[in-house]
Amino acid sequence: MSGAHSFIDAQGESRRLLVALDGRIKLFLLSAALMVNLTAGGVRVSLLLALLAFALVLGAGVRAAAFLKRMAIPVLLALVALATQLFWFREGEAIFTFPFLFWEMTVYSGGVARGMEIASRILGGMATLLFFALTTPLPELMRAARWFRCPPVLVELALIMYRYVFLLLDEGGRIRTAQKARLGFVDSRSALRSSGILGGMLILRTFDRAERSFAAMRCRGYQGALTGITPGKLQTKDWGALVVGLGVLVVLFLMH
Amino acid sequence: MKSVIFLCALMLLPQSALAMHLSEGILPARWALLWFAAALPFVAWGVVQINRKKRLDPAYIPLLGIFGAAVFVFSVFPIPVPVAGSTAHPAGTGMSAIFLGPFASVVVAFISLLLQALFLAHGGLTTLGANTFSMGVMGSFSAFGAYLLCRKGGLSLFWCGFAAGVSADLVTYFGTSFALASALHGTQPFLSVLGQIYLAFMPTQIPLALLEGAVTGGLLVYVQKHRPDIIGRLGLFQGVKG
Repeated sequence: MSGAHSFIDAQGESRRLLVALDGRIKLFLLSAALMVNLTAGGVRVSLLLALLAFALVLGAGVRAAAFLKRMAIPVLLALVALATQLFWFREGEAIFTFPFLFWEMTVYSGGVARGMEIASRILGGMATLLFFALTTPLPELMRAARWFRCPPVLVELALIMYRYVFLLLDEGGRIRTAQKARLGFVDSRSALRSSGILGGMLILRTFDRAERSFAAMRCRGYQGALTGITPGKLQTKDWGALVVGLGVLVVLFLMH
Repeated sequence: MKSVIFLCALMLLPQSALAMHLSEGILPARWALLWFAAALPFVAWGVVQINRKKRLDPAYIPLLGIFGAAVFVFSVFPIPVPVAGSTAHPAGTGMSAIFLGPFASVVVAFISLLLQALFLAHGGLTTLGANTFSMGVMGSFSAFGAYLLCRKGGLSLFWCGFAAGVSADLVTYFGTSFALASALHGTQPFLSVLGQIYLAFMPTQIPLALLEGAVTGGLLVYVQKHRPDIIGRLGLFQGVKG
């Protein structure tokens, strides 16, 4: 697989304070932060959110490299979004003109401002999302989602998919390695054929695995719904985090 | 014209920079909400259908979950694109729409996109509605429609899968281009920007769509050849030539 597909799994991270906070609080603060990022306007608030997320990730004990590596694609996307606005948003004062192939290209202040705003929104949003992803295990997120009245079938499907994605990735990787060893990707034609077979084999193995899993689940008392620990009462540290988090977001929003 | 040439230059950027999922923060709040409102009825009806099937067959949920994981995994494996000299990733919705039906496929796409946003940093949460609509709704329904049309036309299984894969890919990118153009067109006419973005995707997407079609068709034939019982269990391919 390409390098861009490195999975984030907060399960393995150490249980520092930010990681150990209640999923409901984090989900609520995440939604509020993303709304502040979208509605504040300008550049400052989004960039401050990105910096805050980076600081919190470090505070949670996650390596800076893990965060920065995953921010590489959002940075590139932000630059592309900025560049599009230089071409598509022609309002305000002409700032400068430069030759672009056979034409003279003029950059306007409105285009720069709008491009910067969208680019910073992408950076702020992705950094906030990454902070959440790097410090929240999926089962905790799903427990929180249930508490917020998310349909049980969605939670159940997400948990089953999450469980099997890693398993099937390994299985798919093994099939792909075996195909490569047998010159299955030596040219475009064989690569195409191998990709079809890989997909087909994944379906067959998946189907068998689903039947075995269902039998195992029935043996463990499955009667049509997954059971799990329901979230308990919020602790003092969770309420504290909520108050501080909301306070910071209000201050950030007022700064726009 | 300058913008078209600029977009041609953008196409030279790595494929991941023009990935099909809209990144977190790229859509303004009102567009983000609008896309959520557009995708919600399809997800809700998908959940109703899944619950209905679950009551009839309790094994349906594990099957759907593991199948969704397989589609997810399949969609993150790169396929080489000869023209662009790079690799690209299949949408996977053509495959899931045929095997699971379009509404269940929308739900699977919704969860896949959520997991991709959280675990691959692809896409985002405020753009989840737009991404679900383009990939889940438009991709699944166009694929299922193309598959049914070819099936009714008496085409072989391979070509039915091929049509589903091609339409899932191209229609998904049209949806993504539409959402991007709505958010980014600035002072330019919306249709002009929509055309430019869709055009910018084409050099990599046409080969990828053909490849995804061939892979989806090959996959269907492979399953039919090796495990026809799965086809019977899922109630697929009735009246299709092998």
